Amino acid sequence: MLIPTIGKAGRGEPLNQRSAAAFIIGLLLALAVFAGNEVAYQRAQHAFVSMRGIDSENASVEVVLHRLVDAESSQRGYLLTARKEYLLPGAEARRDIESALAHLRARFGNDPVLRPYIDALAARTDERLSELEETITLHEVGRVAAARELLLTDIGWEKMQAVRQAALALLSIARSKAEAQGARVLATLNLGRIGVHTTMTLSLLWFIYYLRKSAALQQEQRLHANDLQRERERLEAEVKVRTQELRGLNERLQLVREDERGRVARTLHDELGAILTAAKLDMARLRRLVDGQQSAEAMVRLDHLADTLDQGIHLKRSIMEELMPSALHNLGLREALEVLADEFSTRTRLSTDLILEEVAASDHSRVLAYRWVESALADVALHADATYVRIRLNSIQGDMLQVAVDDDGDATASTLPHPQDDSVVNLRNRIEGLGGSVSEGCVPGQGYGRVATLPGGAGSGPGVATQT
Amino acid sequence: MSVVRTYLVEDNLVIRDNLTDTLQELANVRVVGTAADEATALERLSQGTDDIDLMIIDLFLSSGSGMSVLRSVQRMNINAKRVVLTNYATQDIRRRCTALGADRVFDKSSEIEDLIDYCATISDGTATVAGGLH
Repeated sequence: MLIPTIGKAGRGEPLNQRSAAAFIIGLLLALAVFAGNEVAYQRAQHAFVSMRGIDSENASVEVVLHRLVDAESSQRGYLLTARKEYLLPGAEARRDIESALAHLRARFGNDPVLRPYIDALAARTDERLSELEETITLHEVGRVAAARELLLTDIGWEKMQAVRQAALALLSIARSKAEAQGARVLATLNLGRIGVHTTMTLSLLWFIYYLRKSAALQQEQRLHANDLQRERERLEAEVKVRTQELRGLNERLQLVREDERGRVARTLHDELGAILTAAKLDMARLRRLVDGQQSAEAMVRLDHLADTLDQGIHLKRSIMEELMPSALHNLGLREALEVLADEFSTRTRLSTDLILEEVAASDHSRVLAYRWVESALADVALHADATYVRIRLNSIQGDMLQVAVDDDGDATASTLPHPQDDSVVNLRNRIEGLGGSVSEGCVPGQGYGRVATLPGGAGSGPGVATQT
Repeated sequence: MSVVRTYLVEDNLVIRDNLTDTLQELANVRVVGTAADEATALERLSQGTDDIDLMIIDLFLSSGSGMSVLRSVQRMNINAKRVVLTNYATQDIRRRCTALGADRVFDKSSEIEDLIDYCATISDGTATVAGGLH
């Protein structure tokens, strides 16, 4: 059955397409995760840089306020003591304030939101410093009363408050800006997180799906393999059954043939034999009669008739032997093999050695063993270039009998089995069909050996076979 | 010239009748009994063999075999001459039959004349023992 194979091939292509689609989806997902994370990182980096800027902004504003108070203290000290050295810390504070403001400008001057607040802080600071400068100048030129007057007004305090407010406004706007940035970072991070989670979930789902698919595929392959295995076993069993049937059929045909040959041989022996013998008896009587009458011509005719009869007898005998070896039929396997070996030896002038045990054999085994030895001897005569042949017959374990035909032929020429014709193959098949076996081959340095094993069986043939 | 009292063990009726007629006509033989199978033959022989001078035995019988008959007769140790008349007179068979006490083995087809001659020698008392010419 080829159906499973066709079905598999049919599903193969969509599977590949699905794999390609899955690969593309996986690639896109990976790219999305990569891009999302990169964007989040860039944004976060930017935000962190900005937030670090907020810190330095804070510090600068602190410096401005702190140093402004220092400048104020310096002015107060000078006004109270009129000693010049009190002015020194004020000058230092003024320089620090300028550098802090310059730092703020350099760092955040480009920010359109922060710029006005920085400018305002700078202006308020400048106004306050100018006011301080003015009182000191008044004092230096001797207008101490005017300086004191100016100091005692609320102008200084108001200017200081204005600076503080400008600083607060700047810090507040900077903080809210930082907070907005922080919120953006959070949002970005959140987006990245969602992306990672989604990707991981999708990947997990895909992995589970893939596992299930591959498990299903494996299951299908297993089923398919099982199907194939079953199919193979079924076919093997079928072949075995068919072979058995054919063997049986062949064996029945061969048995019918043997039966037929046996029947014809028996008829020849019993009926024709009797008729010929009766004729010979009549011949004998006629001969005496004619002898008494002294008729030479009658004697010649009688002699001729006797010759003709003898020819008939000879013909009957050879036909009979060919159909069914009478020794096998009448005497048993061992005796039949002796006769066969004798004839073979006479015909081929090979020396034969017989080691024959009395064995029990069914009619069937007996005929097959005999025919097998016959074909083995033909093989010896044809192929073996031998001078000697040994035929063995013995019982072996398990109610089996074994016949062997060994020769001293050209063993070194080839270790291959001799070529076999149809009748030999058929014989082997029949022996195997009966539960026996046949083997042959070279025995290096010794010759060529052939062994057949056949079932013994209870039917031991004609009485003579078991009586010696 | 004494009458040769003959017991015939032969399963084929045609041969039996023709042989009886021929031997009685040509060789001073009188057939005193016949058997077609081994059991009948042994049954007859067990009743005594003093009235038998010659046994003519076919090897292949309707049941049993001439060989078995020969073997039984050999054990009985009787005086009657025993000849085998068979369609299967190979050297091997001749050897076996001789070993089982047969005086002569004749081929049914080609040695009928010899059988008749042998019967005649029994009649005139010149029959030789087993292993002699035939």
